[in-house]
Amino acid sequence: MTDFVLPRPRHAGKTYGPFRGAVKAQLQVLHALILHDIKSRFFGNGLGYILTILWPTVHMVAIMGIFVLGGRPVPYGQSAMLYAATGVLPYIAWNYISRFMSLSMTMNKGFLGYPVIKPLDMMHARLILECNTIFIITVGTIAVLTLCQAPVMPLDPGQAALGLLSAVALGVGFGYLVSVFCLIHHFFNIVYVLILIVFWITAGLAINPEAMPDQIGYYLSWNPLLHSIEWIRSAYFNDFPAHLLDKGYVLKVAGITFVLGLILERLLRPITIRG
Amino acid sequence: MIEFQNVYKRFRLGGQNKIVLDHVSTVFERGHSYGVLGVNGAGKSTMLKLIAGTMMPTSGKIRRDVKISWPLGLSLMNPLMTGRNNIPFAARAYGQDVREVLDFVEDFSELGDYLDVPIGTYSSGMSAKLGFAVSMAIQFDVYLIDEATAVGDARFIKRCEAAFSARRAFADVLMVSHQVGTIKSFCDRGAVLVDGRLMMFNDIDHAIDVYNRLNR
Repeated sequence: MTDFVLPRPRHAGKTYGPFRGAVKAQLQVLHALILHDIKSRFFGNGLGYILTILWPTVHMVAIMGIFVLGGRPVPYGQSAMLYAATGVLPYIAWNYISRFMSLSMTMNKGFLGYPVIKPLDMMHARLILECNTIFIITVGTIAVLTLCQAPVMPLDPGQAALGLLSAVALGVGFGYLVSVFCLIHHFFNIVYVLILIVFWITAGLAINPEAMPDQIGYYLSWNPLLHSIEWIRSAYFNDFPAHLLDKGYVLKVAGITFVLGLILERLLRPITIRG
Repeated sequence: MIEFQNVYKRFRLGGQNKIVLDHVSTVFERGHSYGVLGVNGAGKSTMLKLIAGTMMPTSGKIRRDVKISWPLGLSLMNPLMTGRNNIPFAARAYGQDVREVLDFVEDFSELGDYLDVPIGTYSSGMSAKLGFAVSMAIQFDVYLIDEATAVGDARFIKRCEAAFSARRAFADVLMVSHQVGTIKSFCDRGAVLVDGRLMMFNDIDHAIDVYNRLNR
């Protein structure tokens, strides 16, 4: 006689077709990973999601604060806060999506011992979480700028949205690619942070690439984030020259890194999934 | 059913190639429990990991249409989080009711207040109890066992055996062990892994005979 009752599956007795069953299993895994990623940020408490949102918000406010309090005249538009936001928001989108996708490979690697968890599940779960966070931050930023009476409405709202989405696409592409390397060794997290710093310096947040000599502008234009920022600024400021902007380039880089990430994930599985 | 299609697994050990599975094609049928026998270093544990999907073959395919456990008793949890915060992850990932699993693990593991401290502070015995309780809380079609079928003191071992017997009523077992007696009590079919070849037997006694002859 036992003194315990073994739990039964939530949908015991129900049968699903192979496709529906696979989708259901996939959603269960994503749900588990997303909730775990939220909780693991704040000592196992669901309030961790507030921290997940606050972290990039504080990061963004700090960068904008340095820019605004520095009192430098803005090269385009009337509002220093708006000019800073058009650079910081795409940077935060790219940085947080890609960095936390790759970081979750290191933090959740132990879960690969569960037969049902695969590296791509961990990447997808973190991507969903970070995209949600970026959406909330974007809405929050627009609300704060409106409260500060900054001219938050772009001249071309569609292009501004596409510019931000191109930064999100860069985050996704680099996220998948760097995650594969981080699965091989967590040291790549540090390497990627150093790379992000270089991208940050040369993207048009700390400097104005449009005012640089042609030769320097050419080298800066290799930075895909620069194009996302220029894309957004060209939708906001009438007098923005956008002579470095190449929309096709940023989309190509996002697409290539995304596809390369998926190919490497598949090819390197014997190394990344080692039991 | 678990099907091996021309599975080849090779390691590089000390500059030498170690072949664990040499183009093996076989089927582990549903409704039967298999005991895998082999000498130390034959690659039995590696084979379990390949079946679980937590390790990839060098070439070939392994097809599974059953819900497979992780090796029984293994604790795969985040050491920075408490037991209570770790348990829902496994429950959700496998479609179990979180509340039910938490209640069961709390009751079965007898860890008491320790469920509320980070797992990194647990002793190995406590980790094993938690790992076993979580393994038993989830209903799998096939349980993978790497030697250990129970953990803890004599009383806890009895509880483990009772829980495992109840699970086995609806599940198969795939077990690797050196202990012929344990294998015989759990499995009706057998396999012997030797030099990268996997010999399959419909009768566990026949598999044990062959293993003993090879070991002489």
